[in-house]
Amino acid sequence: MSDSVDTHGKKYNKIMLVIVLLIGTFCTVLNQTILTTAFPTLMKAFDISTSTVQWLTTGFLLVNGIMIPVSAWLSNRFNTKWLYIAAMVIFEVGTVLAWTSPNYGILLAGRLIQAVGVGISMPLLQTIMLSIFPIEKRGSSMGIAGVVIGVAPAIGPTLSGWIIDTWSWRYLFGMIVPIVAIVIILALLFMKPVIKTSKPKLDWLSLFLSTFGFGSLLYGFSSVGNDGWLSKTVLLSLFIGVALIAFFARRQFKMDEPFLQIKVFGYKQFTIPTLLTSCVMVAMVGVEMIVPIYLQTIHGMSALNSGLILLPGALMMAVMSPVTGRAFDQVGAKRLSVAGLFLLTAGTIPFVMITKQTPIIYVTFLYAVRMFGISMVMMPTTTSAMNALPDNLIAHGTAVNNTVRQVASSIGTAILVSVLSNSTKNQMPGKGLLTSEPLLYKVKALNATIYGYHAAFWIATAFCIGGFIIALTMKDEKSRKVGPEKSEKSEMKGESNL
Amino acid sequence: MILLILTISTICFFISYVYVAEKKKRLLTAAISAFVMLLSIFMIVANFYSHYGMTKTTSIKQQQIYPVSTFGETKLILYRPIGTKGKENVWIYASKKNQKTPKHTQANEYTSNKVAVSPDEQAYLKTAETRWTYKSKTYKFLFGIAQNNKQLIKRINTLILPKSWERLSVSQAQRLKKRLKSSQAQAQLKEQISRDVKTEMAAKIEENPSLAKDQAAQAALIKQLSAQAQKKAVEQIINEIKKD
Repeated sequence: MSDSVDTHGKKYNKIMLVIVLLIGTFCTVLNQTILTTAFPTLMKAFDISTSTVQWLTTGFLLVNGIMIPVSAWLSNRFNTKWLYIAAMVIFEVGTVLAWTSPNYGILLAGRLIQAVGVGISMPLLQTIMLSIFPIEKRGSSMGIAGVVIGVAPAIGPTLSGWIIDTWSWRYLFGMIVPIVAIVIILALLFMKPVIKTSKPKLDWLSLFLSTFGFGSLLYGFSSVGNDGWLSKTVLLSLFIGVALIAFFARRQFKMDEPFLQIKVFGYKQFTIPTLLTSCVMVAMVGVEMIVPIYLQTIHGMSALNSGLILLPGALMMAVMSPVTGRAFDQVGAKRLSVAGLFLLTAGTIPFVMITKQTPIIYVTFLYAVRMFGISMVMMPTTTSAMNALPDNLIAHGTAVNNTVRQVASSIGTAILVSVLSNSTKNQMPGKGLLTSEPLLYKVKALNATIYGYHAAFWIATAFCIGGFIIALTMKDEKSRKVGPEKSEKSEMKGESNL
Repeated sequence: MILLILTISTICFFISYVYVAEKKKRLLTAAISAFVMLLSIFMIVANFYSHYGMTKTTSIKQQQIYPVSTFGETKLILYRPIGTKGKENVWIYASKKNQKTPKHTQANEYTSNKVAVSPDEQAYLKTAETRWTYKSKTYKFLFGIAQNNKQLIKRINTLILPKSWERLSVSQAQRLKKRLKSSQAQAQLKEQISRDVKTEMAAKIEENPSLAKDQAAQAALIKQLSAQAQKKAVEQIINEIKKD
């Protein structure tokens, strides 16, 4: 197993390479969500407002999203070893800056630099995992990658809540610094150039269009929560984003050596699973965001406790992701996705009925059922999408898939947040009642909030059902008989692929 | 228990749907486990949404209560209105004699308060609580883990007060205290009481001339009359304050 050859034909230790890759990427992806529970502390520490402090996450996700399309070009252009090390060094620099930041400006700069590293390392992890394993083991390898990509953001809020309560916010970054330092040293030894590179010319115009196009689009969607859909900022940045991306796409089709191979959408078995993962992404991210708000406003829990309630679900995904990855290698994506979406839908509908007295333990278990379902869909379907592509398009496929998912999750978040706040607002009693009859006001306000959650969960359910329908239209690429002993030995590379 | 059923059926569903090789067996086992899973989810929703397995039970408790403060013979119980419309109040009472920090009724959406006047000399607080409780041990075993047994539906506090007790809002009580404390008011009060006692006394003696010679009876009567007069005077002030 550990005898594999890199692109120079040299042998390398695959297990160590994967370990270094996973630990490093885990640290980077963890940073996507690690600050959400830290906002109140940071607002106090730097004396800043909510809208200012939000940039630590919004800006981070923006840069992260911008880097993903670029990652395809980077991983086909540069030696994998040095690209990974570069990503980790950039990330380490950002982390140290954030750790030691004397003021908000430097903290934000550190976060944005971190995001560059994450934007490279996350798609790179997937591309490497897809490249170094034979096609019949890709499910398992992507399942392991799924532990990192799916779980790190899910435990981020809980971990950060705990660290802030026990030590201080600086340790959120401080604890990562030595781990990443070790990862960098180990990467010098164990990371190898495993992705075939060529010297594609960098098309500066494409880089510009992609950066500002996706940047503007993501910014637009992230502003919906504060400004609403019809605000000038939102409409203008969405319009600019769509226009620039349209230019970008047209340019890619015309080029001989495109910056990002959009033609991957031409492979139907790539496009359908990508669409499916996007649906699931919306259902996942949206509920991941709304349930903590429910727990905090209705049950009066702290951010840390609400994170703890959802932690079993996150851990469920960590345990299940490698299992479902292996299952994918045996039975293919369709069967898994149909079953997963069944569980996801069954676990989401109860949330539509949620009341202000719903026992918290029910929330924990139903949420875990959802995560169980998601673990059966997310990475297996992504793997299935990648398997539809020839090897030389995998980096591009990963970049496109991740970009679509990123955009989908930002759209989903925007829709759910606006539905939540609008339906709550419409049902909210007048302020006058607060002074004349505060108890009645409380009842009415809680009911309005609950009504908002119901509306938002309906939307999430709709995405689950949409995903379910897409899953049914997927092609069953593996109808061969199941059995672990068979799949271990089988050499059915050609058949299992399209 | 219901959560255990949910967990096991979900895992069974995954295992049977993914790992059972033979199609017929697979569909059968998956269908059974999916059915059990959906049933357990349905029961969970029914439990938290419409209190499946539960019934409303009402328990009534009655305790004796004591005035928060007294001025001579006048006993006071206080309330604080919730909101400016004054539909609901928080009542402040003492659960023991001469209690330092008084108790109060709950201020939440489940609680409402009523006042009843009784001919009795003692005051009582009657609390009727309606709660969701599990119908049977079986249901409790199924859903008990959710810790939603005895969830409060509504609570009605009935204050049973003797006719003589005065009900004042907290701000009215503060004004009353302030008025009674000022030296001018006290002098006025004293004068009024002695005037009242004198006229009453004169009237009594006119009714019963033998009283004029009986010193002991006179002293007892003075005591009684001044208590009465004081009560009347305080009542008068209270009525004035209530009118404000």
